[in-house]
Amino acid sequence: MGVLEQRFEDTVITTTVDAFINWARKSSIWPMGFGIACCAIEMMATSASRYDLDRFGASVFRASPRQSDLMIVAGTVTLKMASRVKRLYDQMPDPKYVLSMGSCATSGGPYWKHGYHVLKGVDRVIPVDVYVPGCPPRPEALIEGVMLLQKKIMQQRVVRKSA
Amino acid sequence: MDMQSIVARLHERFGEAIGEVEQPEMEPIIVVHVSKLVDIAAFLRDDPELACDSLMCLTGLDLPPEQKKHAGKKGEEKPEEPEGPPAPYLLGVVYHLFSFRHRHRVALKVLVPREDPRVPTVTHLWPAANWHEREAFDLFGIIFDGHPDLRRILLPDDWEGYPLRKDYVVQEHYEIEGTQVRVPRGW
Repeated sequence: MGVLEQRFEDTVITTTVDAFINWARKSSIWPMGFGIACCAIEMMATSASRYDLDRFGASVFRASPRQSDLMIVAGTVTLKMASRVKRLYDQMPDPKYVLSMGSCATSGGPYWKHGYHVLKGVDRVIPVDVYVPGCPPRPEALIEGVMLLQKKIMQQRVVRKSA
Repeated sequence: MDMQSIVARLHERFGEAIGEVEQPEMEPIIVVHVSKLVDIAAFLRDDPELACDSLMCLTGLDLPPEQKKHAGKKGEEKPEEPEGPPAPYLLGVVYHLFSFRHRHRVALKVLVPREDPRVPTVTHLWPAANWHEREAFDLFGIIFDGHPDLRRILLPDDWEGYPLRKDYVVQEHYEIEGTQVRVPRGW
């Protein structure tokens, strides 16, 4: 911070607006309480006490898309469900993020070849920020996905002009 | 009541409408004629000695003709093709019944032609049949006459075709909120 550094008392911190806003956003990612298949069991385990996703501020599962920042697509997206997933995504307020959890949500997974009823990747309907591989991913993997999303949020430019 | 006496009792009552008993050594399945299905089912439920008060399962079947013909084991010579008209392409429905009073189970099977797969409903006898019949309709296209609410139950309402039929062709595209999505694999 050059000029401003060391010129105030210890109780004052100087930073940029961008860094502050991004820090606030990444520290309180509220996911939607939304699980489609077996990956949701692993998602629940991630938010429970043993893995404690709350350490990253990302375990306040909201019952409504209108209060959520993050949609964790935890499971197989069938074609029937796809329109619902898209509608839920549209109902979320900006800024919003999507984490594709597991191989089903990422590419159709085991239904890639013969799943006549499965959407071959949720990114064909909504934009995805982070893909977490696994079938299902272990809680550590999901936590890493959330941490990657936090890194991504920290790189956002809110006030500064984009380069 | 054991299986033989159940079959004998049905034979005595319905005669010709009771067909062969499939796989008698395992779980026997009684093939019945579709025109008498409701009467037989009602008899199985209401007769005090049979008292099949529970419909455990209702399943649809798709039976292409060649499957029945080449039933021989590997290595054996193929049986001579029988002369005459080709075997019909059939759809079927299997009913698994259970009696809580007598602890016995009965399996019924009806076969219907694929061109006109109509089976009378049994929802008035066992309300559990409602969703099962909707599922068989959804995936096999079997029409249950008299069903109170015969709609698709698993697939979306605008789905084309019946996926569990052997000759089902996956539809190329499916529309999701205005976007066409490819259904078969591939980019």
